[in-house]
Amino acid sequence: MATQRVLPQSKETLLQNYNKRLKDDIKSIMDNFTEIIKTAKIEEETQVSRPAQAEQDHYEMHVRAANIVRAGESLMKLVSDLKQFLILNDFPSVNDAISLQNQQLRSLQEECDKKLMSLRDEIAVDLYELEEEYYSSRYK
Amino acid sequence: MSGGPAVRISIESSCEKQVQEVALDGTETYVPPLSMSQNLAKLAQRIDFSQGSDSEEDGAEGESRDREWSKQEPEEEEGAVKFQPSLWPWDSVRNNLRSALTEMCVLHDVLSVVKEKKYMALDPVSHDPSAVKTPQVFQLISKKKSLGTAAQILLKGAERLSKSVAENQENRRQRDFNSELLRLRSQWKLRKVGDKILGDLSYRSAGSLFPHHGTFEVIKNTDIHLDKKIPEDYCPLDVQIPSDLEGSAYIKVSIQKQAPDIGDLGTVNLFRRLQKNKSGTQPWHVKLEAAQNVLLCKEIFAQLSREAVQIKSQIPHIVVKNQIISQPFPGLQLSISLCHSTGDKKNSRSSPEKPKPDDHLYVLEHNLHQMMREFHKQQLSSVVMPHPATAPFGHKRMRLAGPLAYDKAEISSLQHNEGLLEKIIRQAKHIFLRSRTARTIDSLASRIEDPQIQAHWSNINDVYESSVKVLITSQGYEQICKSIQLQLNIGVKQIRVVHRDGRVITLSHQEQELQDFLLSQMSQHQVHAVQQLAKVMGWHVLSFSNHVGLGPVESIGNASAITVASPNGEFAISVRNGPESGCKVLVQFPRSQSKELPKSDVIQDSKWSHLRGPHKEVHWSKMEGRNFVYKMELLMAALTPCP
Repeated sequence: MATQRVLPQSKETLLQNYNKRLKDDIKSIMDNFTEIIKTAKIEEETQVSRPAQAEQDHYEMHVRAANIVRAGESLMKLVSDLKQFLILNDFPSVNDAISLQNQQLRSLQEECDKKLMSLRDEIAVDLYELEEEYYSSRYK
Repeated sequence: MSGGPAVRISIESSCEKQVQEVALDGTETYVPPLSMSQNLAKLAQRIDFSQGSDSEEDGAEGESRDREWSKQEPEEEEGAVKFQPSLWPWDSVRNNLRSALTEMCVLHDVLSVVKEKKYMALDPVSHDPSAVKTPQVFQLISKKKSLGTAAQILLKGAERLSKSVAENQENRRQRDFNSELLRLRSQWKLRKVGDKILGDLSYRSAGSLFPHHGTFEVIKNTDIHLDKKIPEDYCPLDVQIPSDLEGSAYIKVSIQKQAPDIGDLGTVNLFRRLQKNKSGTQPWHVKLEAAQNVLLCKEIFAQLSREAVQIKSQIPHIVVKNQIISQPFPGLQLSISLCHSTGDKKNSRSSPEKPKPDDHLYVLEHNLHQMMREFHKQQLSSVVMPHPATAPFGHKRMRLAGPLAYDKAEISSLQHNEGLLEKIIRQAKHIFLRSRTARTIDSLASRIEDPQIQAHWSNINDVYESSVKVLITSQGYEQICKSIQLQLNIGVKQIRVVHRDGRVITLSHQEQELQDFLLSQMSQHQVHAVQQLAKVMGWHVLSFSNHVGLGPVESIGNASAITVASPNGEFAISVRNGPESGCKVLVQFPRSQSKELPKSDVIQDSKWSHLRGPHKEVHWSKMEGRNFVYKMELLMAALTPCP
């Protein structure tokens, strides 16, 4: 859709924004995962005391795992945003729906008109007879 | 040293560059070294050119300093003194050299200490193997643990994600929201503003000029807890409409008269109630349509009240709150009101329970809606249609107005655009006139049995014109007596009567005029009927007059009269019929048969017996027969001699 037509500026930036979000999230997942793996490596002596180092690693992994999950959720949100964007901006399908509805309503109108016409004709015939009967009857 | 294992000795040199900052992780960033030119500039800055180069004091001081250092570095120092007497610009050089010397001294000391082994020997530190391994195990365990918790977090997150993707209620709801949104989108205008999805329910895109913004908001309604059972009418999508468009509204058009005999106008008794949701329509759709209806009603009413104020009529239209009152005919009041119930359950429930006589004019209400839409369409087409840039694409005559030099009156006559109110008043007038005509005819028909009136309403009408055919006949003699057929064209202010022979009479809206006219026609009909009957019976018409100039003066129309003679000419019947005075029938006997007539001495000849005799009035009410023509037939039959 974006390639076929020239989109207005705001739409363009919005789409770019979606793209950026996608990339950012994927990158975040990737980076965090790599970092977790890196942290998992047992290192040689460091200057920091061991329990502190362990605690730091523990905490870091926590945070990074949570980051991965957040990125995943953000991707889901992106999916739903994209759906909404498509629904709201898919003008060809909206036009189709409108023309379809238009057609349906027109045929309904035609049908109603036809029915009304025939009803009117029938009633007119009956009315004539009824009028004749009514005005010549004793009970007016 | 060579015998034992290699020992690593760390001698850290003092840093050459200045530390710019120390990051949180301990790394140090240095100020980048100056380039050659920068260095030169920096050095040049230090030179104080204003001072004399051969200042004595300065030189002495400098030299004393020099001497202090010249013990260690005599060559360089002296070179410096030679070239630059002022030493301060060379301060940095000196500093660097001094630090280099310090480091060299330290290195020298360390090396000598190591080499001499007099004071200390360097041996590698003996590592306790158990002491080394435990921290690694500890590290391993701690890392494993932290990896485990990280994995748990990831798993939890993944579970949530897969839950929302997999086929379950939450997902169905999600998808439902999107599919509902899609359905909503296919029927209503939507756009996204920030985080909100806003819709438009106004008729602006259809050409409306009503300033109401008509915006509604789409709300995602997924707050229901997963475990709870979903109610039947649950919809994941909800809409929020502006508070002033809530509830239901309709335009009520009614005609009231001071006298209550107008109750037969629009007696349809329909309950206005919110329709129950049809299966298949979403609750939001019902809500939006109701809101749109409210909006349209408001627009119609706004338009009407604007026109009511603008239009100058003889009797000014009154606009009070939500009611417009106008007087189409004297003594008659057309009221158009906007009924808007705000959807309060208490109110809506209490009001429609009482089936009071409904005086809605549904046709007019419907027409109002239709006219508004036509107006919209007009607006739209006039705006959208491609037109020359110099002039609106309108009437051809309007374009000719310039070249043909129309004056103001002509142009305004072209531009005359009837407003909604004027149209509706005209329609109301027509409807009222029509129903009044029908009532007049019916009341006459039920009051007067002889002759009979038949009315046949035409089924093809216009909003401003309808027609009725009125036949005046005598019962049993419909085939013979077809003399009077009237076509009544009911317009807005008047009724045009087209006679069978082409005469056109225009009656005003006054009820009495039509009644009088019909009465006079009925009286004429009787005389016409006698004429027709005479033809059938073989009698001769001696004289016939629709408008007799003799006798008592009728208050309505004129009396008509006819005289017919029997086939052999012996008898004659004279009928005079007036709309008010009624009918008078006289029979003329032949002279021979009259006994009261004294025998004249003068006319004794038999030929005089053919002279007409005296008239005698028939006691018409005592005659047998169910109607006038039948009685007349009997009379004629009685007076016709048997062959």
